[in-house]
Amino acid sequence: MIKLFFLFLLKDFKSYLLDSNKSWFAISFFLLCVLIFPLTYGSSVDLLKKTAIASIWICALFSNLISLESLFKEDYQNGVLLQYRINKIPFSIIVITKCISHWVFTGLPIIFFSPFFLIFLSGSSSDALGLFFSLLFGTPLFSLLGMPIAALTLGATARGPLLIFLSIPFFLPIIIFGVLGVNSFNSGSYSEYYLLCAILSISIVILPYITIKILQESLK
Amino acid sequence: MSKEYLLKVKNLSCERNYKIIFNKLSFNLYPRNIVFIDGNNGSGKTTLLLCVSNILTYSGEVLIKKGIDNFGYVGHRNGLYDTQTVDSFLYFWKNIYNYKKSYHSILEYFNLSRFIDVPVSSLSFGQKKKLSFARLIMMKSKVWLLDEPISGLDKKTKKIILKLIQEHLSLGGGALATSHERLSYFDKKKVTRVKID
Repeated sequence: MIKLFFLFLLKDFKSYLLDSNKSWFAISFFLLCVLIFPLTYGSSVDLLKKTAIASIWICALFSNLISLESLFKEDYQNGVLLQYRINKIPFSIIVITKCISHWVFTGLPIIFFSPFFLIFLSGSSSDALGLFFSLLFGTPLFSLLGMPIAALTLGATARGPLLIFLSIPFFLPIIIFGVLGVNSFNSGSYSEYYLLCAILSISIVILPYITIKILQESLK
Repeated sequence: MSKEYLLKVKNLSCERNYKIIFNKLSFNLYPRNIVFIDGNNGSGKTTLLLCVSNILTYSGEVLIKKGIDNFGYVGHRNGLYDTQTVDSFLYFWKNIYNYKKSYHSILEYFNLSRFIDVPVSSLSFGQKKKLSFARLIMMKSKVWLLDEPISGLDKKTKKIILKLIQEHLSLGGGALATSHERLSYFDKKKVTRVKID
């Protein structure tokens, strides 16, 4: 089972590295969004400073939404998912490795680069740590919440727009708590972080199970 | 027939979207035998294979010989990742199936050795089909479920695939295939034909 897990993880990592549509596109989109924000504010640096954290969160949301489209798509369309099912390969391994690799290639780079982008957007450097932790708890939730929705829309003709409209309501609380958490971080209040951690803990337990069930149904 | 079956299908019926796809089909698959499922396009041949492999819900009985816990499957969609190279594809499935031998002899059998570093997306339809059969060999399953295994292939590739199926049968395996082509290749005594209307 452990061997199988690492085999799938390695395969997914390779796939993300080789397929430009999967990871590079999401990160490039994030960079592009972050670069566009200061241009739209013109000379109002104060406004930019106030909205720096929210801007980074919105960019993270958009890049995650874009990358969700490719989740399970190739496996479903090429018949690999059916092959796994007939060969009785546990879907739990497939779902967990997909979620990890999705977060590693779309969430993790954003977390590490976010303090630099905060300074780039004229944000306060004292918020950098707060932003780092809020993204650390928030971006895995994007991947976890996006997984069942991506599985649910497999086979749909207008999958991209459907995926975005279905995902955004679930992503909104994450953004709200994430942004609020950073604002109150310096005053020593961590309640939003605890809330994000609680949602993350519940999601880790429940959402992969739901995704497995949806994927099994999608083959019928 | 008192022979021990690999697969026994009894009164198998399937309904999808309130429409009966097939009703009360019965047949047995014995070692060294092949069952051909014959029928027009859309008659439910693929559905039958998916029912047997327990993907779709059905009514009736599908009994599998003790000890057979996995089916080999080659379908319309080949189950290949476009970004993988032939080598990484075979390495991945070799590890999944715990295939001990080297897969280079399989590549030679299918004349794919020179494509070892080529991405799957660059292969032709026939080469992709051969690759999915290469995976089937590594799986070492007794029962093969083949969905139109030779349609769309050239004469030479068809011959290679049919020879491979024949070898599988001679080793005591069985195959359930949806095809109406080249029934004559196999010994008539070893062939069971199931017609779906």
